[in-house]
Amino acid sequence: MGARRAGGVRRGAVLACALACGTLACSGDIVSPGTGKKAPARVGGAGGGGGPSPAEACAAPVSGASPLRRLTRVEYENTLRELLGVTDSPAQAFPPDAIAMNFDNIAAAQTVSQVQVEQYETQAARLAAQAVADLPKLLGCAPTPAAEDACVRAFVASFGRRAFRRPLDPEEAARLHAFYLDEKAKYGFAPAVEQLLTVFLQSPHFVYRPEFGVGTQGGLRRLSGYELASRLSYYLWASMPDAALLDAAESGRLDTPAGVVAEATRLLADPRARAAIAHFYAQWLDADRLGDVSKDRTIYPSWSEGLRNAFRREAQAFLEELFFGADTRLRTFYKADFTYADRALAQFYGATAAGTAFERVALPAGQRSGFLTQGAFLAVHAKPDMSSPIDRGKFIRERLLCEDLPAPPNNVEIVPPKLTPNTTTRQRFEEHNENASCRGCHQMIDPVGLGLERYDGIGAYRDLDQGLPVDDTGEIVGTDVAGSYRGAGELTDKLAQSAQAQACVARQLFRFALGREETAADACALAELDAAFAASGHDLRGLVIDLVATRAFQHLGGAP
Amino acid sequence: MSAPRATPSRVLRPLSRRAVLRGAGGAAVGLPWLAAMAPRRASAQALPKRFVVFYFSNGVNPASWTPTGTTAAPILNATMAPLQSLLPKTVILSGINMQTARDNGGNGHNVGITNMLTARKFLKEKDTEFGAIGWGADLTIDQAIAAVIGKTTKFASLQFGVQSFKSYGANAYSYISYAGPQKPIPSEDDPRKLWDRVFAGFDPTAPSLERTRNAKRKSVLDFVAEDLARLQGRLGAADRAKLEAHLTGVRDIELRLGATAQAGAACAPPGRGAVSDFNTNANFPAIGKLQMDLLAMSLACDVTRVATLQWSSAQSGVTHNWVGVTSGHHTVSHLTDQESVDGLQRVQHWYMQQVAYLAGALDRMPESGGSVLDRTVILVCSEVGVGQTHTFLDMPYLLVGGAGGAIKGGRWLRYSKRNHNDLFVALANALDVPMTTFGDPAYSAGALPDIVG
Repeated sequence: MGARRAGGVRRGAVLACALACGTLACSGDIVSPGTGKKAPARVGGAGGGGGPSPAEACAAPVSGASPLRRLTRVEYENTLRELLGVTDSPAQAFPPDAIAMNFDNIAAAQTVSQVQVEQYETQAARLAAQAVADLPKLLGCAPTPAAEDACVRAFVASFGRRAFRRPLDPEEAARLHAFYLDEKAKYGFAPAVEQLLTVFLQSPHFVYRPEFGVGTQGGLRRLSGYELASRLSYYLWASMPDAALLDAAESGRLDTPAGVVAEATRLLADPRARAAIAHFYAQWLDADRLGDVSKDRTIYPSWSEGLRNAFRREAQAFLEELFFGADTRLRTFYKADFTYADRALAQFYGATAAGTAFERVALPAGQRSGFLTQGAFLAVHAKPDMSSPIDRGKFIRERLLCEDLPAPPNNVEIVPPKLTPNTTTRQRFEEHNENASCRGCHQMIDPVGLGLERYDGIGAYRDLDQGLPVDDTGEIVGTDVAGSYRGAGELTDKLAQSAQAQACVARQLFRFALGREETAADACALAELDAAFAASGHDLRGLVIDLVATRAFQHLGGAP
Repeated sequence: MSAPRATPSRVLRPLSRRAVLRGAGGAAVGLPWLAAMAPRRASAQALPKRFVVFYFSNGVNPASWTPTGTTAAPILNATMAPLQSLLPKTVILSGINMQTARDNGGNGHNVGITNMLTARKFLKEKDTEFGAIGWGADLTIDQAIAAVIGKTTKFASLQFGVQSFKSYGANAYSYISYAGPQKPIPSEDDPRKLWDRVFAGFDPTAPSLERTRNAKRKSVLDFVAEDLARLQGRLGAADRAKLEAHLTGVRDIELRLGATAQAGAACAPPGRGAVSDFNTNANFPAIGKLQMDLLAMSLACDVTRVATLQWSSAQSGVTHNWVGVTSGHHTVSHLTDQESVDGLQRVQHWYMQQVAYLAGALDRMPESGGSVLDRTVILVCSEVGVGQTHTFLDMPYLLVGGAGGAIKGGRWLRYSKRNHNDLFVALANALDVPMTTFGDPAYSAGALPDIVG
């Protein structure tokens, strides 16, 4: 066991924690400030017994309200590529999408700034000018002067259906046509078409996805086929519906839950789904942050750009396989005894790879287990010069168990303890345990991450930390898998069987797909989703589809 | 052999300005709005006043910040030394508190930045989840001022950033300016994009073309505004509010189509500039200079009268290697060893050099018997008073510039427990913006005395 620490706390080496810590709700309960109406962090499920059964929850016709959603930068660009073949990054000067709940597509965060409005105008004008350079191609007709108006009328209908992702109603088609006639009288035919296109590309029906529903089903207002088509394509492709999906809407195939599931299945099988779903798990798991990481190379001489890039490729390959490959069980996320590596990365992990290309390799038994022992997690959630049980514990709590942790108190200095010889990381963070005002919160965080102490600040396996044997015991306080554990193997065993962790994945996907947080009114949808997820053996690809079958996805929701 | 051709004898007519701009080959040179900037008959309009916010992060060290001397004859401390030559145009303020922030509770830097220009406690998320941080609760003082003095310029206000999104992305640490409750206004970190937005544009050598273009834009914007209004009518309250900002934006663009500027002699639109990477730490100073140049010229060319310059975000992590500090700004601000304290002071001194650069640039631009700086006021501020303690007492405020004669420089004004709400009221009044309170009314007693006078 490591050296006993000296009698008192070594002030210079540990984090100072202010007395004001006690004024927060750090008494052992996870309390999230200011959330009010949020659904409980812990949810029922197999073995959990905390939530309603689907039958109970679905007895009343309620569903969460659907907020108005705007296209994100990626969605805007993908849509324009599909609509007009645009490939020159038209959103590059847009303000960044605001992040909420770790995602960039949450409706409530989508405010519109003056710069954004200017950019919509600038891009619309620019793209319209580009598109009318080949007028016959754009219009689908090359009319004589006498036939111009009829050509444009047809264009408004067909282009409008694609741009607004639904047929235009007669009144709006008439308004657009009248606008074109006005502009034609002033400037001529081709400029008038350019004006028309400029209007289309700035229209709120293009830039937003308004939903009104049509008719009721089971006491709830059902979304129209076209509205569901947009929900499906923006969820699974981050882009507009293709012709087949719009036709499915038109022919009524999206008017039944089964029809929606069938189209979702088709979309998920399309290559376009890869990038869209990758954007989900990259945001959920912070898997994109490797680029921001810097390491102290005197402490970690084996850190290099090569290693960084290898970790990135590994995570991409592993997670893509997890959602699209042969084994898409959640359990594999935690317990995989394999990863994807080239020879150099395999060597880092103590495994062997046949060649220099990236391929599946078996991990050394007992040393590694799934995503939580990959560099994309371990190196990102660490400091430049040491591991970070707090960052790792916080990630597990927040991203994998969906618990909100309160922020540190106002006047605490957030300074990681300096590296000192002959003290392990565990010892350096001891103050969190000793100081009563810190312990309340930190007992939730540090012990979760301390069990990963066999992996240093760049994710390498170690038996010694600063010359002292690693102690990788940890503990989870609260949740349905509370208790102590030792090492990544036991930690991932707990998480793999935790109903709370299973429910958490479902909620993360819910937020991403619907662009909002779950509310009490979503109890039915969530209960159904949890049940379907469990029934499938917690299959992630299945979960992606199961979501579209819920009432939250297919109905408008909100106050009746 | 033929005889040499005689030189034609004709008077060479002086080239018209337009011809010069076209260049020898007849190609139009993309300089902005020179038609609008051409000397015109004297306007009956009073000369404009301008407001600038210069924000830097992590507060100051009072030991090297606070001056000595008297109210009328302050002696600058080490950090403010770069402002010595501008002292006659500078007012140093002490004893002003961000009382709303003190009563707010929460993470120091986030509270600081959301209270800083709103003078209100932050808004915790209601039915959305942003974590345990808050957002600005209503419009900031720069926007309140722009609503009055920015009505006729091409841009009501402009937001210049130096790696403002780099540390935290699009969350509440990264914004200093708000258009309304939870409506942050992003700063633009890329000088090229700012240039594109402000100084690029249509061909100024053909004003009738510009009129046509504006007419076309107006037709389109009219239609889009109508569409937005119709859609709004069909939506519930929350969604209506969301579209309101969009609709206001569209109408605002329409309003400013063809806005003419009162550009003075100092207006000389800068080139677009080549910037290799505006997000690299090492480029921080160079990007800052580019932004300051653009800001100064935006004022001189009267395309805006309100501008904010945001150096990084709250709790900035910038590493100021160029003054010999190798840890991040926020980290250093919390260390108490002498080396760190000295390093932090060099960082703060460096920011004051940047203030001097910007104010100096404005002061070298002549305008109506004085300089552009004389008709401007730059508010220098930070989101916390002292980085080490996150205090909101005795915030480090400076005013540089005369606001058209309303503010006399060369003074050190010491207040006792006054709220920053009231500093903003005084500033607004100095800029001829009528106002008796600002921000949370419970914290605003009226304009701070002695600032205007």
